[in-house]
Amino acid sequence: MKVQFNKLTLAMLGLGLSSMALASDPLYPQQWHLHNTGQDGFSASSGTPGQDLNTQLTQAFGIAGVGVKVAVIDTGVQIDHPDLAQNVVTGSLNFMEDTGYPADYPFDYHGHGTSVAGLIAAVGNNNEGVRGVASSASLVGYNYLGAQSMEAWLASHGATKESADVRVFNQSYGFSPIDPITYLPETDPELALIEQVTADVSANAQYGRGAVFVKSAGNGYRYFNTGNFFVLPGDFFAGGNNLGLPMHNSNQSYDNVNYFNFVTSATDANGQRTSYSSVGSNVWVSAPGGEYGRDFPAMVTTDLMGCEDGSNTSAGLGENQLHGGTEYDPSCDYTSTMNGTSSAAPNTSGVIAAVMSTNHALSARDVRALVVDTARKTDNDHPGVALDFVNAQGETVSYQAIDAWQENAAGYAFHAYYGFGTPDLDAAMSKARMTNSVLPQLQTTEWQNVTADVAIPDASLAGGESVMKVESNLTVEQVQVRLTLDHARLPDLAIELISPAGTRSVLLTPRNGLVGQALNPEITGFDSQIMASNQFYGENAKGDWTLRAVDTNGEEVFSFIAYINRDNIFQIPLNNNAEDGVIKSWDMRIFGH
Amino acid sequence: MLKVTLTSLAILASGSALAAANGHLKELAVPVQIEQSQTVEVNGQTYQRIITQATGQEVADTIALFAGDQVAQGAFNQVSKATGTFFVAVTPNTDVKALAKDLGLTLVFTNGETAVLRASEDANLLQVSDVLRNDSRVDSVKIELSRNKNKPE
Repeated sequence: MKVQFNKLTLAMLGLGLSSMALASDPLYPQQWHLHNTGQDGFSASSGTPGQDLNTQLTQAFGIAGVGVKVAVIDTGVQIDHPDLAQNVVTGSLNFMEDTGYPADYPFDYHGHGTSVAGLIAAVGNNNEGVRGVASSASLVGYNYLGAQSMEAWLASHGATKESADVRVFNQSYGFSPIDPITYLPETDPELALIEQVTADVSANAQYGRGAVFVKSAGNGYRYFNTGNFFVLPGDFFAGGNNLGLPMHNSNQSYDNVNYFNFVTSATDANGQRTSYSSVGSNVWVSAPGGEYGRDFPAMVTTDLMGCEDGSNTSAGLGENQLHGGTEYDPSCDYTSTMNGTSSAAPNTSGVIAAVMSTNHALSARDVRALVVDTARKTDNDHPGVALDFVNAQGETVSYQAIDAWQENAAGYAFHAYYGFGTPDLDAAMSKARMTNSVLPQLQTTEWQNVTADVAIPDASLAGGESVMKVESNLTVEQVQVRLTLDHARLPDLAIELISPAGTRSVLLTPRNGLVGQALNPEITGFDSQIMASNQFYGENAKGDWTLRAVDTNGEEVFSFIAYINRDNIFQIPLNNNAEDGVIKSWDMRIFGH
Repeated sequence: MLKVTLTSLAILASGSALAAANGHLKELAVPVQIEQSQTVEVNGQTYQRIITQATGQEVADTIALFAGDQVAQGAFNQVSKATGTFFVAVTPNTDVKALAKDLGLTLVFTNGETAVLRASEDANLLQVSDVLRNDSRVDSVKIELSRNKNKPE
């Protein structure tokens, strides 16, 4: 390991603070997400120095999540892993039957959860393995993904005594539907329960200091798994890329629209969107997730113990520099191929836990706000994504489906790929030391409704639009919309919301994976389809809000691919809408203060 | 049963494209082939209740749904399992404990406005749902169907 001393390090040494150069976690030097020096993470190439969570000062101060309990809600966690055990506290639960493990050992049937746990809270400076972002946080694990009942959800998400003292809930999981989903908690008690519980736990957990739910955005930019098959763009095997647009927009999944889920997308070792990360206007931040660890760096973290299980096994010798029982890890207890927004979320969870431990007086809500306020723009020159299409008049026109970084009227920069940017732990920690309160109490407006009955012309930038006048004077944190419209081919549509200040946010990008109409002709459009945007953060809510739906596709036939396995691949057509779409009505509510 | 006819296309993808994609595209199992089923309406939607040897022919002749039963829906026979629990939204000031006791259900969780109630193992969930729906203290009811929809990301 090459040791480098810069001025900061020397200053820290002078103050008696530990230097990262003297770190005693053998694999820490390859954990680029904590300190990116251009290392390769055991892959075939290097990242860009500086593209990381900016953790050096926080680590030098010894701030590591002490006293903060983090729950890994996942495939399970090997809580006896040598690099996790010291941070594990009582409270883990095994929801699965017939595992052979006791009720308090969250049997990890996959390895995913063990890797997630390591990113958050692998023990630091213990001469073993890797280091978590919050390397002294208290850890519990739940194998909820192996038995997804509501009882298990309640027990693992803070609603019952088992998890009532958890302050950070990491949810590196999700679902990606192809059908629109009616979102009406008013008549669906399951949706109502989830909303009520997440709101209650967020505000009231741990003697009123609250908790943060961190959520992965999804891994569906190129394609996504809808449960039975992968949904690929129609030109995928011909080398197409869905015209540069995401197949899974984060807003397709209603759990990503929950205000209390701090949705995180993923960046690579160069600070750019990973090849797979889902994106959308409901993303809050974008944390390191890495690529696949063979050609480009992924995450270096804990793995299922031994060379028989997990991502690092004997059979993997040669796939990268770490795996297969190499000198770096003879016992195969670590992996260098963990990735996904499944990694971005725990990296964010670790940041939040570390900031919480900086100042235990801060509420969860305040810590979330600090992370947003101090997030660092990344990939600054990304131009966004323009979609060219032939309109109904036969002209080629261009629709800006994803904007470049935009500054809203309150001065916050936002990008649908990155939210407000990459969490900057040192900056958030520094601010947390100086304040005991960041935001006033959360207020939420009632759903306000407008009946529109506005046509959406086929293949036209003109679109259909509807205006809602809002009287509330709240400062916006998040806006949620529920949209009801008729359209026979939903992926044609882009859905936008424009604030009174003129900020435009694309709630749903076109050419998305809402292709369920091809398999179920009974789907006629959206029925209270919920979407959210964080892009108006800090703006005033009062005034006219404009919803627009733009049909960007006049092609007669458009298709997607349903991929089950190499012997079962289906090209499925979606015919163009024979009639113009119609915005029938929409609701909106605002979370703010 | 597929609602539409799918054209199975042998994708003539280049070896490299397929290999590159398949490096990360997992091979999934083909959809479940259902041998015997019964049409049931659950939560206002139509499902096929999968009849197995365990279900038994006698039970199969009754429109019913029990905890542990599997139901399928959609073109690809997406399978869910009835857990035996209900989501219930109650009217204001309802004593949820009393409601549960009156109807012979176990109260799993409540926050006053909504509740999760569990039926006994041998209860016909469709009948329990009807009873709940007809109780003046209940605004809405939903039978829990779990299909492990969330995947690690």
